[in-house]
Amino acid sequence: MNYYKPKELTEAVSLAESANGSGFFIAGGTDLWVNYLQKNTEPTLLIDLSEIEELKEINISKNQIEIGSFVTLDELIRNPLIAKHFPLLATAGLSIATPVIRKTATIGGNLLCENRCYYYNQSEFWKNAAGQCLKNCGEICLATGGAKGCYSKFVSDMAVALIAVEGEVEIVEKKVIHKIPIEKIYSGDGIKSKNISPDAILKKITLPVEKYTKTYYRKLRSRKSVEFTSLTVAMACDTKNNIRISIGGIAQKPLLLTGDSSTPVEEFISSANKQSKIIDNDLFPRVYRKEMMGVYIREGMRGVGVVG
Amino acid sequence: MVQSKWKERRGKLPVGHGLGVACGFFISGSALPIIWNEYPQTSVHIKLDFDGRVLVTSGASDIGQGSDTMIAMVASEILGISMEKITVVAADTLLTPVDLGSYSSRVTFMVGNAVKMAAENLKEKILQAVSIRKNIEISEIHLYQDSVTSNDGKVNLNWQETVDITTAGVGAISVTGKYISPKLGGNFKGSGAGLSPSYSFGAVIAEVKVDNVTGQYEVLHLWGAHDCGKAINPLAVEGQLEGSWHMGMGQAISEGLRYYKGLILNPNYLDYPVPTSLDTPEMSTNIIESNDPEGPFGAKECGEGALLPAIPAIANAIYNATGVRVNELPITADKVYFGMRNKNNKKQ
Repeated sequence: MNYYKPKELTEAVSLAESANGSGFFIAGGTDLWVNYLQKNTEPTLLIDLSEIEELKEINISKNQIEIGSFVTLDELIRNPLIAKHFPLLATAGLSIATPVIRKTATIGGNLLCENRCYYYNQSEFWKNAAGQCLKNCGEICLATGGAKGCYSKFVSDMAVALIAVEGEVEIVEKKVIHKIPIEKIYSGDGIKSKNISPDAILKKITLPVEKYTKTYYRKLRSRKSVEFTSLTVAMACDTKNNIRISIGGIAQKPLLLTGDSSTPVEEFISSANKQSKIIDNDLFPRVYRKEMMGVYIREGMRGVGVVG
Repeated sequence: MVQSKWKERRGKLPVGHGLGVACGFFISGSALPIIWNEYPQTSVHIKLDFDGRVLVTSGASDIGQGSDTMIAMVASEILGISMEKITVVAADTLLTPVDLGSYSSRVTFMVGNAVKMAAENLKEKILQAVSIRKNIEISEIHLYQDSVTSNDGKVNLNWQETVDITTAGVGAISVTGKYISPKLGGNFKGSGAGLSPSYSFGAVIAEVKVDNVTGQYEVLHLWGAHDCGKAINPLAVEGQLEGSWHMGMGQAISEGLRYYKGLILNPNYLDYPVPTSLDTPEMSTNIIESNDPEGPFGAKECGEGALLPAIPAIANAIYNATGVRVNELPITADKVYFGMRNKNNKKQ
């Protein structure tokens, strides 16, 4: 495996293009490295982004805030601009991993972390004994026993929070900069969970300032730290009472439901139920996560000031 | 009970809160070894060298419970010398005699007794040597505070002088100690099961707060008391009790193995959720001292026995808060949630 540490973004992009899809960008490495050790990913080229200074900035300009993709979760939580304008992000950040991991893990890495499943995130030894699942080039989904599709779980809590407040990402792909809503980078395919090519760099995240004043966030997990999500619900309401509900941990990609304060809660809940693809690949049983999705949506509507 | 204000608070708590109590007892080591043999359950060697160093070797594994310190404390107490003079080498299978292992809450009880016996054997050799050299009855001299003194004050040897007399002409002194439990139980098949030379007793009170909408709950406080006989090292006992209650709480609230075709599905500390420090409540720790006739200085176990009542105490507190009886561990939020729903459905 080759390892490079470029100082410029353009250099990083060229390196990635030269690897023809087998190159991996590494930021904090907290997700990539575990998957590498479990033989889920086998990069031939690692491009370390830690020396590209422009990825590490948080700036406020005009009506938006820009967060560089290499900002660590710890820096994000402690940033006074974030605390002032986006307490939702600080809350979401605090719910991720542990204080030590947050000092290494980056916001960009969290957005692009790989989907998870009980049957995929195991040691090589375990998978050789159990048989490989669909996500690992096997022929059957071990979690459901079928072969229809991979139901690996989308677990980025940061993405769920950012989607609720209408976050967008700037992506450098083939030397062109695209700006797309965060929810669009997820494919919904459990095996190849992102729409963007491996040689694209997520440069920064942009958010509108002062638009979503009322927010809600809740994560279901069995202890207060060191847990990937079993269900994350984030909700934001703007000054015109438009509501965005974003849900993670219940399908291969995050769900986004939009409406306004006149939308009945039941409509949101039934829409979430229809779009979610919850299976038993989590500490909490499928039925409980489904029930809690409704409970959290209802609670969130009250949280953002809409009586449900 | 007093600390938790059980009498004043139970039944009058705010909605969702519950108090529960439970008791437990446990063996201090099994009277019979798991694999039957006639060797002692443990042996300990002590060697006294020219330079005054006392080397204690034991097969006991210090897994964090503090057995190395316990060994040094027991030897120090019997020999009347300070702990700096004692070196403990433990659990090196090349150098140390066999110990059956750190399980069954047996180490302080059994290894402690063996250290005590070995140290008494060494003490006897030291006093014998001094008695012969100084021409004085053994009953007239004492080994205490790093020196040997006689009742009449004529003998007053510091530790190095004592060691010089003891090792003169013979070199280092090596002694051994062992522990074998007394014969217990009847003469019929199965009578050996669950027998122990001593039993510890404990109780825990737990307070929980349950979210009546989601079934998610938090353990707010644990109050506990444990009869460990004589607390040889009270600080370590306190640590053992808190550690045991924490592990018991883990078993009660979140820890459980899952399987897929005989393979463990959660063979790591991410998916097997041991409570973190954030999940661990305040604990009020009470050591109840008693004097066990068989234990070293009256000591008994304070590990597994302390753990046991934490689990039913939490289950009882959840029952007190919600009226839901969960009979399967761990008591996860989903079990409480569906329990509450079934209960409400029956009411209607």
